[in-house]
Formats: sequence, C-alpha cells, structure tokens
Amino acid sequence: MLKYIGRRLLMMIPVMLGVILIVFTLMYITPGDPVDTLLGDDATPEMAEQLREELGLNGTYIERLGKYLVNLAHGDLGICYSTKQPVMDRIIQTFPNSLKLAGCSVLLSVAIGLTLGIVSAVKQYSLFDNIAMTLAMIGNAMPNFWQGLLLMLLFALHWKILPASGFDGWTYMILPAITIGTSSAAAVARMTRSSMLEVIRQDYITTAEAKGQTELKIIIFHALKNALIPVITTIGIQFGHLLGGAVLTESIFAVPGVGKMMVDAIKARNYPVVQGGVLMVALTFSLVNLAVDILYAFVDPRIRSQYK
Amino acid sequence: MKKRFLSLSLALCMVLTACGSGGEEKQTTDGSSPAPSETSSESASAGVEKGPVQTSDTEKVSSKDTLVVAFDREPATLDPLGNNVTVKRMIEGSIFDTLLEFNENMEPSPCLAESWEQIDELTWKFNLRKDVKFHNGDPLTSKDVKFSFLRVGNGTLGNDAATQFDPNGYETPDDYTFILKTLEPWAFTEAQVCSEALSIVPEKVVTEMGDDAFGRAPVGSGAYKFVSWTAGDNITVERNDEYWRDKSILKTIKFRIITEAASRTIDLESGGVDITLGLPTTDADRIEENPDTQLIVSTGATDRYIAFNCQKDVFKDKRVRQALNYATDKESIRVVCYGENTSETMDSVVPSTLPGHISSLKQYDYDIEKAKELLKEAGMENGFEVEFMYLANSTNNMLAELLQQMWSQVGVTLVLKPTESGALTTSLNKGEQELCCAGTSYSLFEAGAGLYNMFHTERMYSGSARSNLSSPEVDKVLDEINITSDAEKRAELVGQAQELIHEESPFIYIAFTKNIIGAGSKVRGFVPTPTAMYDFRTVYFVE
Amino acid sequence: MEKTKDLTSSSEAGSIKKRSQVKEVWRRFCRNKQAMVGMCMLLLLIFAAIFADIIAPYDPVEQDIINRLKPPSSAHWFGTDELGRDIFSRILYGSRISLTVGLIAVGLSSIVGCALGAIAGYYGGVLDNIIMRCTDVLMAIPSILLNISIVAALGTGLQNVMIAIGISSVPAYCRIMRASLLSLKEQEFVDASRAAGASDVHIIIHHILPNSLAPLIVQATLKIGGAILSCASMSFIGLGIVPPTPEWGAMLSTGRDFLRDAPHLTAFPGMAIMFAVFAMNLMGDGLRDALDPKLKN
Repeated sequence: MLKYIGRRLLMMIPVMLGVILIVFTLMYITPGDPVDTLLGDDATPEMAEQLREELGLNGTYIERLGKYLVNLAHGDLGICYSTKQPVMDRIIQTFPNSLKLAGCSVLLSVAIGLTLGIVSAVKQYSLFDNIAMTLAMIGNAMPNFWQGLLLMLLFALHWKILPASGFDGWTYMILPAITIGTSSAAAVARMTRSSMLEVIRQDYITTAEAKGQTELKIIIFHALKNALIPVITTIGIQFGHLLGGAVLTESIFAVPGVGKMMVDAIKARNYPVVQGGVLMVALTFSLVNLAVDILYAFVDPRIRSQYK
Repeated sequence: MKKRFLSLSLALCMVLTACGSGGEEKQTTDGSSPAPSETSSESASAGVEKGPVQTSDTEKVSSKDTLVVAFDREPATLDPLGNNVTVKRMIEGSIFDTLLEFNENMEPSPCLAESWEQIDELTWKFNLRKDVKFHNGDPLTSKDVKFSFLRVGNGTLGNDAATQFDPNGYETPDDYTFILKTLEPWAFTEAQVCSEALSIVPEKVVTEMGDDAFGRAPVGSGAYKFVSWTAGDNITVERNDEYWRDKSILKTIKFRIITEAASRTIDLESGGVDITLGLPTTDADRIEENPDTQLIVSTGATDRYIAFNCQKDVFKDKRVRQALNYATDKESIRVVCYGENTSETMDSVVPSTLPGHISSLKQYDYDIEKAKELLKEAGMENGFEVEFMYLANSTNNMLAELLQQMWSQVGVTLVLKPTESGALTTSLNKGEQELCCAGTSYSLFEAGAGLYNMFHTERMYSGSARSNLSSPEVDKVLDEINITSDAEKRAELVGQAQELIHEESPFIYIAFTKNIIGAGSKVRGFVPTPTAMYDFRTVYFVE
Repeated sequence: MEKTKDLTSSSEAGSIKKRSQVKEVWRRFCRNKQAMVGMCMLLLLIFAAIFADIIAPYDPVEQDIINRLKPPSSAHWFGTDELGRDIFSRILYGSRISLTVGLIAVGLSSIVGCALGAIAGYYGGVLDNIIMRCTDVLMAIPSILLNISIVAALGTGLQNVMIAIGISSVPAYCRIMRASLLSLKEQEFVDASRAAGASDVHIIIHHILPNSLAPLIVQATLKIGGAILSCASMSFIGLGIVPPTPEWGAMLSTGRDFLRDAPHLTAFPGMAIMFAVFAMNLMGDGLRDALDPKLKN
C-alpha cells in the first residue's frame, strides 16, 4: 500500500510539470503586457521599460521558464505583480475560502445526490424516480450564474433570511453552496442510481433477499457499500474541480476564493499568480484523486489486493 | 452652476486625469465604478442632482457605528505610490492627509499646510501644521513630506504626480516648512498637491516596513486608522481619535469589494451594504423608488466617447472622421448605454462642469446625407471596413451593436472586436486599433491638464491619448495652457483648444456620465464631492 | 465465446446480428419515457434551428430603440431586448449557435480524445504513459480556467470558444476509449482478426470502436449540454461570442443588468439553455440505460 502511494506521488511530478508548462505557455502566447495593466494610464514609456526589467519580462521563453522552474524547485512561487506579496501568501489567503465552499457544496450535493440516487434506483421508473431525477437534472441544466442571482433575489432580497454576498461566516456559505451543490447533485444522483441498479441485480443481493433481510438493511449494508465506488470517484472529481472552478459563483457572491483570484490574474496578466494558483489547484486535485483511490481500498477488499 | 464653476476654478487644477481606456475605462464602462464626479458639498447645489436625504428634526440618531461601503475592484496596494485608481485613492484619502485639499468650491485650501505661498515662478513654500501626528504617535514633519514627494518621483508604479517637480529642489529649512520647485513654470502645482497621489507618509515607518508591506498595512495621519485587509473581501478602517480636526462620527468603515454589479445592488437593497459606489445606470430608478434606499446623483467630470485612431490610414483624412461623426446618432447611444437621467449630452471634450468648457461648438448632428457627401469628397463612398476594438462588457457591446447598425447605412462595415482587459490595454498603447471607445475623468479638475494628456503629440500612444492626434496648432495651445497661471486666461485658451480639437473630429462625443451612488435610507450626512474622493467623517445613521 | 462465433461465421451473419442489436437498443430506448421526452425536445430544437428563417417573426439583429425592453406581448412573444430586438427570434436563431457549439466542441473533443485513447490503449507502453499523463495534466486544471486561458490566448469569438471547450473535454473521451480498448484487445475476436492479417487501424475502427461505442455515445450526449453551459459561462466572463450573434449565454449575461426591471431578458434565454441541456441529459441517460446490457430487464 505505502509503495503504491509512493509511486502515485512520484507520478504526480511529471503531471505537475506538465501543468506548469501548459499554463506558462498559454500565458506566454496570450497577447497583452502585465506592465500596461499595472501602470495605469499616466505612465511614461520609461516607467514601463523599467518595470518590465524589474519583473523579468524581457527574457526569452526558455529563460523565463527556466528561471521559474529553478525558483519553483526552491519552493518559491514568485511574487504577485500587483500586490507584491509572495504568491504563496495570496494562495493562503484565498485557498481556505474555496476549500470551505467546495466542502460545503460537496456535502450538499452528496446529501441530495445520494438520497435521490438510492431511492430512485430502488424504485426504478416509479413516479418518485422520475420526479427526483428530473429535479436533479434541472439543477444541473441551469446556468450557474443565473441560478445564483435568482437565489440571491429570493433568499436575500425577497425573504431577507440570508446575506446576499460576502464571506463572513457560515450563513454566507449557504447560497453559493446551494448554487454549486445543485449542479453537481445531479451527477452524484445519476452515478448512484446507475451503480445501485447494477449492484441490486447481482446474486448476493438476491441471496440476501432470499435470507429474508429487510429491504432497508439490504440497501444499506449490501448494495450501497458496493455501489459507492463510482460515486466516490464522482465526488472526488467534483471536489477537485470546485476548488478552482467555482469562478462564476465566487464572483456573483463576492467570495474571495482562489478561482476568482486566478481569473482576475489572467485578466491582468499577473503570471506568477496564475501559474502558482493553477499549480496549487492541480496539486490538490491530484491529491484528492489519490485519496479517493485509497478510499476504494477500504471500501473494496478486491481493490486493496491490487495496490501491492 | 456652470458660472459658479468657472469662477471657482480659477485657481485650481490638478491632473489626476485618469484617462482613457486603461484603468478608468475598465471600471466605468461596466457600469460599476464612479468616475470622479463633481458637485459642491454640503447642499444640493452645484452638480448634485439628486442629493442625499437631509436630516430632519424628528429623526433620532442611531447608535449604529459601522458603515459598509461597497465598490467594484480591489486595489493592489494602499500605498499612495501606486497608480491612480479612483476608489484606491478614496480609501487612501481616509487614511492619509495631503498638504492641500479641495474645498467645497473646488479651490485648493489648507490641510496639512496651514498656509502656502508662491515665492517665485518655480518655487512654492508650505507652512505645516504643528499638531499633526501619525497613527503611531510620531509627529508629522517636513522630512516626511520631502520623503513622500521624493518617493513618488522615484516610483515606477505609474504614479506621475511628481514628474513636474524638481527632485533636487525639495527643501526643509525647519521641521514645519517645506519648499518645492517645479522644473518649469507649471500652472497646476496647487491642484496637484491636493491630489491623494501625493499623500504624506511617515518616513520612519515606510523605511522600516518596506514599500510592499506598507502598502498592505498603511500608517498615515488621516481621519481613519487602517485596521485590516481581508484579501478579495474587505478593507476596514477605524476612527482616528487623535485626529487633528473634526473626527469621524462613526467608529468603523468597512470597504467591501463586490465585483459583480448586480450583486452590489442586491446587497444594498437587502441591507448588507450601506453605500454602493458606482451603481449601474440600469438600477438607478429602482433604487430611487425603493423606500429602503436613496439615490444620489451628481454631475461628473467624465467623458464617454468613441475615438478614431488618427494614425491609421483609414482615419488619416479629417473628412472621414467628420463623416462618421455625422453618421452616428449620439443621443440614442447615450440614452441606451448610459441612461437618460444618469448622463448628459456631451458637447465638447471638456466636461460642462470644468472651467473653460464651451457649449458653442457646432455639433456634428446626426445627418446621413451629410456623412455620405463627406465620404464621397474623401473618395470613400464605396464603403470600407473598420475594426472596432473595445473592452468586452455589456455596455460596450450595446454601444458597438448600435454603432454597427448606424454605420451600415453609410456603407461602413464595422467589425466588432470585443477584447478582454489584459490584451486591450496593450493593443491600445501600441495604437493597433482603428477605433475604440473610452472614457476620461478629469480628476485634477483642470481641463488643460486633461487635454494635454489626451491630445498633445508628446502623449501619443499613452494611456489617455486614444485618438493619437498630432496637430501642431493644438500642441501650441496646450503648451501655453500649461504655463499660464492666470485662471481666466487659461479658461480662454481651453476654449480655443476645444474649437481646434472639435474641428479635427478625433472623437465622437457620446456622453458626460454622472456619478451614481446608492445608499440605505437611514444614511445621513454623506457629501458627494466633485473628485469622488468622498470623506465619510460626517456620515451617520438615523433610527 | 459468442463473439468469436460472430467473427468466424460469415460477415453477413455478423451484420444481421449487429442490426438486431441496434434494434434492441432502440426498442429499449423507446420504452424509456424520459428518453423519449428528451428526444422530442431535441427534435424541437433541431426543428427550430433549421427553420429559424421561416418561423422567426423578426430579423434577430434588427434593432428598434424605441421599443426596447418591452415585456412579452402579442407582437413580441418573448418581449424585446435592450436594443429592441425580438427575443423570440433571437432565441430561435440562437438554437443554431448553441447546437453548433455543442456538436462541434463535442465532435472535436471526441475525435481527438478517441484517437489518443485508442493509440494509448492499443500500443501501451511508453506512448500510453505519455498520453495518459497528458490527460492527467488537462484533467488537473479546472476546465473553466483552461477555457479562459485558451480563449484569452486565441481571442474571443465563436470558433475559439468551441476550440477551448473542445480541448478541455478531450481527456474524458481519451480515458473511456482507452479503458474499453484495454478490455477488448485481449479478447479472442481481436486476436483472430490480427491472425487474419488485419492492420491495426482496421482492427481499431472495425472491431474495437463499434464495441466501445456505447459509453462514448452516452458521454458525448451528456457533454453537449455541458458545452452549451460552458459557452454561457464564457459569455458571462466576457470571453464569449462576438455580438450581435444571438447566442443564449450572451443574451443571458447581458440581461443580468436588467434582471430586476425586465426579467424577460434573462428568463427566456435562461430557459432556452435549460431546455437544451435538459434535453441532452435526458437523452444521455436514456441512451445509457438502453445501451447497458446489464439493465436489459
């Protein structure tokens, strides 16, 4: 097991290098000069040239990439162009917010998705199945930013029971979490339903039924446990993607998250922040995936035996 | 109102011109950030069209002592050294003081300097107050002033406030006297010294902390002490109880960053925010009608225009520019994009609120026949293609779509190129565009200073000069304005400059935009100021 | 065993078998009410897209400033937008854009993804390792950030948005293709074909692709909805299509300035997007059920 984890961690190194290479190259070929955004309108060409020199923007592609990688090897993600803080500090400021939000949304989507999925699998093609899956899919089909604004209108303005925007406590988390959660709930529900359907048809369930166990017991102890694997994968992927991908929701609800930070940085050509931010998000994503794989081993002994 | 301004502004100037398409346009065109607006304080007089609700006797002052102010874009730093972004300067204004400040009539008046005099053509002497202390308890002396000015002069972050001053000319004969010299005779010295870009910082603290750290946790001498900055969320300041003049009524001000305009309005209406700066024009009516909120509108010093790039072949001929000016229904664009009541017809490059504005220019009224005629004269009657590069946001999209339809009637195919901010500024600074739309805020409140940045050959391809006009006659007048210290004479020259520029038709005038602010119905004492550098000391709540 | 027989018997028998398989899937698909609803919705969309010229009462880009922001009425069923254009007509024409974005983005990513997945799975070894690490890289970057970076690099416009959305969904197809290839390539009928002298390409296209089609189709159907939503998100950020193209996402994001005073500006494009995505999801789920042999009964 440890050997397996070690191998997986090693394999992450080339992946992270690839992430850096892609982001670096994309930023390099993107038109636009960070200096123009930084200086505003009143700057002279001399100021611009001096700043360009300071920021090391005059080197060739290879020089700049090489320098970045060398710094990275020393654990240095660089300095944010605009605030002049170390990029690591900026990530530390925003990352926990995104983490909290992603956590809440995943909890919500699991709660909704699992319930819907299980019930509609057990009662396949029933009225409940149809209604539940339809609702889940509507949540999934709504453009996120529209849904967010509508929720805000309803809960913050009309009923005045929740704050509209900001990030100042758990009540502020509810609306954004619902906005994101409902769209991923559908994915979880769908996955749960189909893997449950698969499991329910298998022999050991029939055996359990024959032994006269109650339906609820069978679902929880036999079916669910075995249906969980693909569901865990879905949740893992959702969680990873929510970390940096909840850009629109963060923007609508003024959540100071890592996704919004990166989009602002892309717009301002704040290269170190974009690179550092994407790298951290990608790393977390990979780690979450690893965690999910390890989790499999606990759920399913057959998989455990493969991790030698 | 106009007359009042004319007379008021005799002395003043100050070129915080945050112009053009870079920073300022970005903010303002998405309907979010206010451009410095203008109005005199205290009462609903000059410029204020929709003043804040005034206190009546029956109201009881509330004990609520935290004000939440929402705005659109997080500043990179709170160091005055950074570039000129309106809201950044406003927050700095609450933490720092300047040597002089604009009074309600937009005249430079004493602040840290209790008195000042011009010694000769180049030299100015300021006598500082002796009772001013920084938030850390250190007294503010002329050394700090010299340090602050030198620092801005040496800075590389786009703050050009000290470029006209001689870096070797600063003198501090004693702790409370400061002398500065300009490189050449310069008419805008007093106004420039009022600018938040020349805020006074404590030398000792800055040297100890370093520039970057200081920008995240500034120490000044202003009415509010810096408390905290939660990245991406809010900046909080607290009343300075040792302030040397009238202290703030409220204890705490929280400046909240809400990027999305729709959310900002909803948060105001739902009570999460007390004052929203830069309200979208589309929300103005509703905020006014809503009993829970009040609308504050004041005339601004901001232009909105479409700029021909005069250096591109297609627009080198003045007649083509004039023809397309005739082919544009400016009034429709203004009403649709900037709101019937939240903007004014633009009749010159100089906003109507500034000294020297003339309204006698013969406008390029919407006239398709005339446009066709001029195009024919220029040999362009068979139609051509023009690329319109603009910042991608919904206001600009509307403008572009309207323009596309209008110009199609004279055979011009407008190719739209919505561009995101990072790429746009660079392209515009290189002059790659044929046509763009932009805005200019005359934040120094001096027409000459703004015009110089927009139209002088020296400033071609800079952030404010989006038309890249190069005309010797215009240059000559603009140069003269810069050295004319007599305000009335200067206003006259500004008038001349407007005529010359108008004839060249580098811009299609769209609108003077107003400054729109939303506030909760319980907010009292808010003073909309001409420069958009709001002072929150007088604000309080009622029950 | 069954499959081996197929191959060794005459090709005619094979095609009959295949046809009956398709029939069986179709039969099961038809029995699924949700899937049928989804298909009807999709057909309606396709109908709107094809006949937009005929059905639409107005020119979708014709402005009428005097009648801007008018609520739904008999003259304008869905009201007019911020420039007085007829929203109903714009929605109809918009279905072309949205379907195009969905189909091309998904087509692009599925072709590239399948090709890469096939190469990786079939040849294995170093090549496999390289390709799979590349998909890991793409998977690890949140797709919206990847989309934004790509469009920022290439410039705004429909074409670049489709390329961006296409690239970010390549890994999913690559993985599906590779997984099914791995399970298929060791099977006897592939060996038999190889022994008979078939080329690698022939084997992949004629034997492996048809057998791994099911999960690919399901994935593609579901992804079309995703692509439409991604396109809307790009419009929100200001990196979408070039106006005045009547794209639903762009209409929705412009309309948010009028969210309160003229809600029809957002309601109709929003519902149109929901309608399209919903239709694709219903279809996708129906197909999954129909194609899954384990759910036969």
